[in-house]
Amino acid sequence: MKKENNILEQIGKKNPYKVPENYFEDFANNMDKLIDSMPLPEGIGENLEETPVAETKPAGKSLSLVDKLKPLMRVAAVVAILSGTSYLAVQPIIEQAKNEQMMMAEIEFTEEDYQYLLDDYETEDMYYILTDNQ
Amino acid sequence: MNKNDFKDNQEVFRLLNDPATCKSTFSNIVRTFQQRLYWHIRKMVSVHDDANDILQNTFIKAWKNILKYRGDANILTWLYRIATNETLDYLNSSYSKHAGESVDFETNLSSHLNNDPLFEGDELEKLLQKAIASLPDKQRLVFNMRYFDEMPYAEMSEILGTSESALKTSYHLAVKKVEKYILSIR
Repeated sequence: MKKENNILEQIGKKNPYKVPENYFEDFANNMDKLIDSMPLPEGIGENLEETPVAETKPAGKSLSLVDKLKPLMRVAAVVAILSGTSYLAVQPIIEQAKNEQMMMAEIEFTEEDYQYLLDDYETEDMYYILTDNQ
Repeated sequence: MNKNDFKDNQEVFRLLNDPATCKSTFSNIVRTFQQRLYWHIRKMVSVHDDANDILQNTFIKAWKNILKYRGDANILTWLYRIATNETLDYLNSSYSKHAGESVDFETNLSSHLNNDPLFEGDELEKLLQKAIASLPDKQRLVFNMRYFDEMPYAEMSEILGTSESALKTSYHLAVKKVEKYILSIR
């Protein structure tokens, strides 16, 4: 491990590549020409009023703590109402599903159960006769 | 305008969305970040001409989609993402083009480095580049960004959309592979 770590340290992090002379200056100038030849992207200037800046203060008045908390309280109220409504709506469905599952468990035989029963009844025919009569 | 002026994301957003300042701001962005993006791309593709094409495509794509920049992330992070995707797309299309051929990227790189006047590394550095070329593309990205650029994992996570823990694991494995490759040749 030490030998491996030394290898990268020995090689170092020097960039072994280089660029043609004046490449970056030329690239920037070419990009300027290219962008100049292209139209402004559609919609530029339309979003200026929708700039996602922090809430601005009303002129001559600073926001109180209550004013700052109001948006959060609104969100919390909506979440609470939605959660409660969803719970009430979903609860009967869950209960019904649970009941159905219990009923299925009572009458459902797994393969393991079948094999166990077969051993007891010796033959498959005897098993069917006996279980039908229950 | 220098790099420090682009730290205020909201201000950048405003300038880019104003028809009066859009083009000049974009021009400054190109001048400010072109080198960093170029080297990010070049280390992946090795060939200068390819890196030049990808860099140009990156900025053209950024210009056409300038309205998608909402000022919620740093502009460089946003450009890095575009450059990374363009590079990966280029590499994928390059693999498809040469699918079925016996020569792969690693072998191509090997012959390219031997003849490229824009590569001035010594034998060890050449070996390192071949070792890096043997990594899968995304792991190569992680290795380059961490090893050469010394980028913090948090920043890498934002650019690549991968968790920091996954990046750390990827980098750790990449280092092992690179070292093993070099030692096996030497």
